[in-house]
Amino acid sequence: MSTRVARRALLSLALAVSATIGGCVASKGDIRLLQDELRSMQAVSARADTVRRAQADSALRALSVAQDSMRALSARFGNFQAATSGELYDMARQLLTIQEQTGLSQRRLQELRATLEEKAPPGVTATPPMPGDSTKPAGPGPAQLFQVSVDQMRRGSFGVARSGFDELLTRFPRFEDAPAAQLYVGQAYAEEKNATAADSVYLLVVQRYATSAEAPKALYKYALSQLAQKKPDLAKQVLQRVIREYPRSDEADLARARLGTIK
Amino acid sequence: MPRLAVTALAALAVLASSAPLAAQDTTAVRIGIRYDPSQRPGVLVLPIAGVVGDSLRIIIQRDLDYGDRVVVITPDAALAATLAAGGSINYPLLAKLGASRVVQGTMTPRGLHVALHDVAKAQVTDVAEFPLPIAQNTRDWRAAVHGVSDQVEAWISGTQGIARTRVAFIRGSVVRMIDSDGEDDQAIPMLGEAMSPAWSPSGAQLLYTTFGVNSRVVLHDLTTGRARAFGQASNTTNLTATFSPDGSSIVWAAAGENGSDLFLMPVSLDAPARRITVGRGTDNVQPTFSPDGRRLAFMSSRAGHPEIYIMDADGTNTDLLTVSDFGDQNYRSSPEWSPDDRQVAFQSRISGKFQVLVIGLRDRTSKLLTSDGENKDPSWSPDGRHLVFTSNRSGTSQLWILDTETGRTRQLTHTAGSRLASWSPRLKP
Amino acid sequence: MIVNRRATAFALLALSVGVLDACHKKPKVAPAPVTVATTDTMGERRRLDSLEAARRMADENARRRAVDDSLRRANEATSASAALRAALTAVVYFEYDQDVLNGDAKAALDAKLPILIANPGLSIRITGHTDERGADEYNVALGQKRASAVKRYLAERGIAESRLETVSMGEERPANAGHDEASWSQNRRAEFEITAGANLVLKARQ
Repeated sequence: MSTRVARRALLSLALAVSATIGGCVASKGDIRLLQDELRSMQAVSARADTVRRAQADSALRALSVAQDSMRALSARFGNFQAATSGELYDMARQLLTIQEQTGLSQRRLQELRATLEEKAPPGVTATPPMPGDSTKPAGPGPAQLFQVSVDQMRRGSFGVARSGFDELLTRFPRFEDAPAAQLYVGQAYAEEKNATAADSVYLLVVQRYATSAEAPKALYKYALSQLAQKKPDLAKQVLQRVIREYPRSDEADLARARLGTIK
Repeated sequence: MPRLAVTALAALAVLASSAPLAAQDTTAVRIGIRYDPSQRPGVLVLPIAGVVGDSLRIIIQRDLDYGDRVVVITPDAALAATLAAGGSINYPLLAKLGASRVVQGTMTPRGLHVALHDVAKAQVTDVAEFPLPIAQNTRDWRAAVHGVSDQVEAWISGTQGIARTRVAFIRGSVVRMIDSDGEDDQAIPMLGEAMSPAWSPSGAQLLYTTFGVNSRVVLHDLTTGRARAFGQASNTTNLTATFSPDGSSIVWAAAGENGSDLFLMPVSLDAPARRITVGRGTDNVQPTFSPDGRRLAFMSSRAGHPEIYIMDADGTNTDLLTVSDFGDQNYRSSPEWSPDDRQVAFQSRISGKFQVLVIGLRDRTSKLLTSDGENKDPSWSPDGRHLVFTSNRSGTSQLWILDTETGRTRQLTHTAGSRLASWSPRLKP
Repeated sequence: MIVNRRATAFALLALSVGVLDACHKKPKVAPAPVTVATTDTMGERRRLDSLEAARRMADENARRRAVDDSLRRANEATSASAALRAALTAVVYFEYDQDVLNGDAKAALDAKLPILIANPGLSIRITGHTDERGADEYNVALGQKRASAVKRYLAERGIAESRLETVSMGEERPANAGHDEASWSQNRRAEFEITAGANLVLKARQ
């Protein structure tokens, strides 16, 4: 047993030395400390050898007692535990609130912008009301509505995002990012696993905003949706349509590549 | 035993060097939450009886320290021995030492029993028994102890720790792995000269690419040791492979006759690869998924120099993320989407050297995180708070870890030439 | 030894000539073909042998000259081939973060063209390299682009693409380990390696 300990110590010393050389960090002092450590470990294990059995028995008994008392303690103070961890969670929540507030201040800015959009005369606003917007809108302006809805989209609140974009499209149909808003509506449906609704909205984008940059995107997403629905023939047709109608778009390039992978 | 000795040495070095706790690396002012170190709870780990008690205590203390969410209080041995003398915890003395929480570990036949005490309330708040492998100081045993630390950190801070993680990286064209505390730096067998290791979301597989002749993407199973390769084609170099967050697909860059583009392949490798970028002869590399898997950030030279872009995972809606007028030489690369979905870490050249920055996904403002030496190729810890990156600040290329909340840094590797790190997810028992 | 033997041969030759002269005056009747070797027949054989030896020596010299000539010609061809090989594998350099071929690069590639055209059995591997300054991973893509730019240039001038393999080593194999522009400029390069037809004696199209 003692030779084993010695061998282990030697091994560990060798390992430690190699680690030292490899690491190039340990000083002579560290090595001395390590040697001290090793010596004391050796001594400890030698001593432990003789008294181990006796110790182990008593330790086991003590441990089981300790465990029992721990369990009792934990049961008894279960409600305290809840209270203290509750405190921690409160703190965490506060932090989250602060985090949210930094986000909110961003939103506050957009609200201010929206207020400006409402009150300032046309030409001063960031996004002036379009001729088609007959009535002066109440509530947030299009830019803010768009941004808030995009944020909801990013957070995975697709229903909220969708209603935001819908409201935007109803109130500001000529807003410059209306095609993007419409495309987002389709994507929100797709995320909600409503492929039928998503498909019809994608086609609506192409129909309503045929010359926008969103049209080829919508058409391409429509094709991918068909592929996902195991309709490769329709998908092929749509991809060919992307190439034919929007030959210079990025989506035409993607469509060409994609056609090659469909059997 | 040998492992214990090495651990002890490492711990001594760490304890000696961690005295000035908050080594600031950050030069830019961070907006948002900033932890005041004095407000981090003081935690004291009581001595643990038994042959491996000291090892256990050292590992747990170090893990809690590296987690950066608590301040670890380390009284000298004589004082420590009095804190729980006769089986009763001396709460008033612990309070005087600045400890608000106390970790009490007891070896049992099955493993380690841990009780967490609240000093102010003089109570145990959490208890659990953690099974430990019989073979002490083995890789699995240390992983199990890191698991204990991570649970203790969850009890104290509400966030599970990141001690039970590994960092994959490259040294000498070989993929290696090192534990989060710098232990157990080991190589995995390679199919060629490797680059860009990346973890599967489960932590059970590693992806890497080989360069030079017969460049491939390799999927290495850490459990079985088996490797599957794909992407081999003449005149093609495969690089920077990454898993989608759901683990279903692999996205990587294939550089061929006409620039490089990103491709997507199901992890089953049973379908043709789909191109998802429109590079038109430019380079498009280094994909990184958003946590929800819906979007990708990547580096593209489409504007004539490397910049970071974001697109939908289907390849549409590509948009510039990084602000072109930031940094001095129009070179931004190596994006890493944060696990909390708030920002993207990247590198930008500033005064001729790469530095690590983060850019907010919402406000698109950049924050500089490093300034000491050249720092590059950041990778997020699973808690989204720490970054591992390559730095030459010590004179050689090494991996370093930065706590983005406090700016505290520590050196992870100690062998020159370490680079291209990828932090694992939290690893399962 | 050879000298001694030659001396002996000459002595024998002289002796035999003397003997023949002496015999000449005798009528040439009945040389008695079946008789045992006489001094006379011995002399005749020696004479023939010596003539043969002389002829052999002349042949030997001629052959030696021919071998020398062909060796000289072969050496000339080999050194020409080596020069061609050097031109074929001459390194091409690039500007920072560029895969565009500059004037020098095009000149170096133009020098490779006649060799590739004249030796259809040759295939080469073009390996793109970068300096250490960019992102390690992007540099692999950049190296591939440099190799591809070289390949495109050669292919556009009639070299079959199947004979031109491209590979990238990024910044992993610097030609110069320094950390300054002088070193970097030597590391931004494409290297050439013969992958088929390595043992051909190269020709160049005139």
